[in-house]
Amino acid sequence: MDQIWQDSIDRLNARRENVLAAGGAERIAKQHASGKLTARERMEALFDDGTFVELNDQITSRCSDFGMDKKKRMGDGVVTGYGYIHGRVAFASSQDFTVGGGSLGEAQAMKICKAMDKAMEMKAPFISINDSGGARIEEGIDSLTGYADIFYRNTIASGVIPQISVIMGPCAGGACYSPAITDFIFMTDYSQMYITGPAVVKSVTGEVITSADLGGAAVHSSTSGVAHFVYPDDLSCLNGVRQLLGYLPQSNEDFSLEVPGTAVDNSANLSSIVPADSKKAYDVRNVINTIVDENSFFEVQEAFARNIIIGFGRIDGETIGIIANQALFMAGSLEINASDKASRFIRFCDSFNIPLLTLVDVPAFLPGSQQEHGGIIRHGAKLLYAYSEATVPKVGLIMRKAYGGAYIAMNSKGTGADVVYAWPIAEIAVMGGSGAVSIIGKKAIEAAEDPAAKREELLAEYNDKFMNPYIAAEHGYVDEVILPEETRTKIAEAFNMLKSKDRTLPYKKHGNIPL
Amino acid sequence: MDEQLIVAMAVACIAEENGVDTKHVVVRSFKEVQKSSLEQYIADKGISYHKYQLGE
Repeated sequence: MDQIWQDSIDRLNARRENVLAAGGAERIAKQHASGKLTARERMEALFDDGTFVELNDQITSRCSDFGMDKKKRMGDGVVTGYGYIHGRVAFASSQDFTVGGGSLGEAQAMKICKAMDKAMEMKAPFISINDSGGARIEEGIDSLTGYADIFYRNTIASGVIPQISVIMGPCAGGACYSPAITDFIFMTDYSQMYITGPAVVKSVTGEVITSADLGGAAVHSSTSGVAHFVYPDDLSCLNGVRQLLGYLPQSNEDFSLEVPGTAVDNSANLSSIVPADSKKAYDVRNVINTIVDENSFFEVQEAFARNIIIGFGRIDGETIGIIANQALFMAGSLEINASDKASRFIRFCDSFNIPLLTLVDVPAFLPGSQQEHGGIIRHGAKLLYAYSEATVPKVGLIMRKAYGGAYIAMNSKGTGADVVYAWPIAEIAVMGGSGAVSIIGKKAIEAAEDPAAKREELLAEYNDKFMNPYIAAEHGYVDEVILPEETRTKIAEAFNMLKSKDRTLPYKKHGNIPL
Repeated sequence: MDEQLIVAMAVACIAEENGVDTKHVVVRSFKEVQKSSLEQYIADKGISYHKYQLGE
């Protein structure tokens, strides 16, 4: 080998070592000491073993203001590239907190955008691992434009490829809006997301609050609904991402992988799980787990709006999205947060060809001034819109109550449900018997010699006539009244029949969902 | 295991896999694969970790 070759190779190796050194041994040790992995270690954990390929490792900031020429490092605080997850290609970026606190400048943004563009070209999922102090102040408006470039791509890619954000450190200010546009947000216990941090909150409003109370994982998974999944550490969190991707297709032009699992039909247990008395609560997760393939249910937003359950599962190995009223909380009634939670999930599934199963046991939209003033009309409308707009196979099962507007909103036949089943204990009506009799029997009760007896008589008549699934079946709003033990078989049959469903909506630029 | 034994075992595996005589396998270079940074971190911290695989 001549000297020119040798010098060139030495120079490349030195540059490679510089890239891999990231922020230096001391900062890497600090990252490890706080229980966090480095950006490259996270990539290794995310992708199938040995498959991660780094791209643009030598991109460097062009900024020289405020001493940046002395601080700049190759890679510019982010690792990007591709690899395989369950044998399928995916692209990712991983901010490197050891390099300038992972702050985002022009070059970092460009690097992330290049990986996003490649993901779109390849029609493959994009995963963004966030661990950054925010915009790189030294780079001024170029940093902000960098964020805008990312948000723009997030928006264009929405509904085309699955986009997943993983928050593994701070994510503050405008940086929050990229995750917010993506499909799912994972957080670790020690991560935070907020538009303005505790110091700014205190200086502007006087409110004293900790980072965790303001924007920690617990708050975002239960109160704000921003986060979809929370895990205690980096490794379990990235395993969660791998698990989720196992349910998703590569893009809107693809279908989810078929994953043969154990299919045990325990539907005969359903009549023991769901009490016939509609006032008694039960955990609808037990119904879901009975219907889907064994251990296949993967719940989304577990701690937020617990009156509705959403998640992925498999029937005969094929992915479905599940929406179910949860009788354990607020009797399963619908309110603002539940409407938002379910609507967004339905739209995700519809975007990515994932059929929907809806399990209905809903007494009403939650009444009250808090809900009305909070805009339940606007939020509840999202649910109707999302179901009506969805063209994927839509199968429903009315288990017990299905009253009024909430009945309509939960995948009713009128909003385009393909197949609707009901159990014989189902009650499909405008409202429950007691409320109905108070309205339609008001005059008769007041005029009766024995108002209490008259009320009971009318209630019995109402219950006999309306509090069952048969009028709905007679009028075609329920396709079949089925026995509990037939449930899994009937649902699987319906999805199988609907595999070739081909329904398109009229051309439009896009709809105008009530936001 | 010393380096020579590792190479001999690798040669035997390659020969068996390709259905050729070991005499026809030539070792041009040998590079010991180091533990990755993540593997080292997991080992150092004594973490119980199993990467999730589809179908589990």
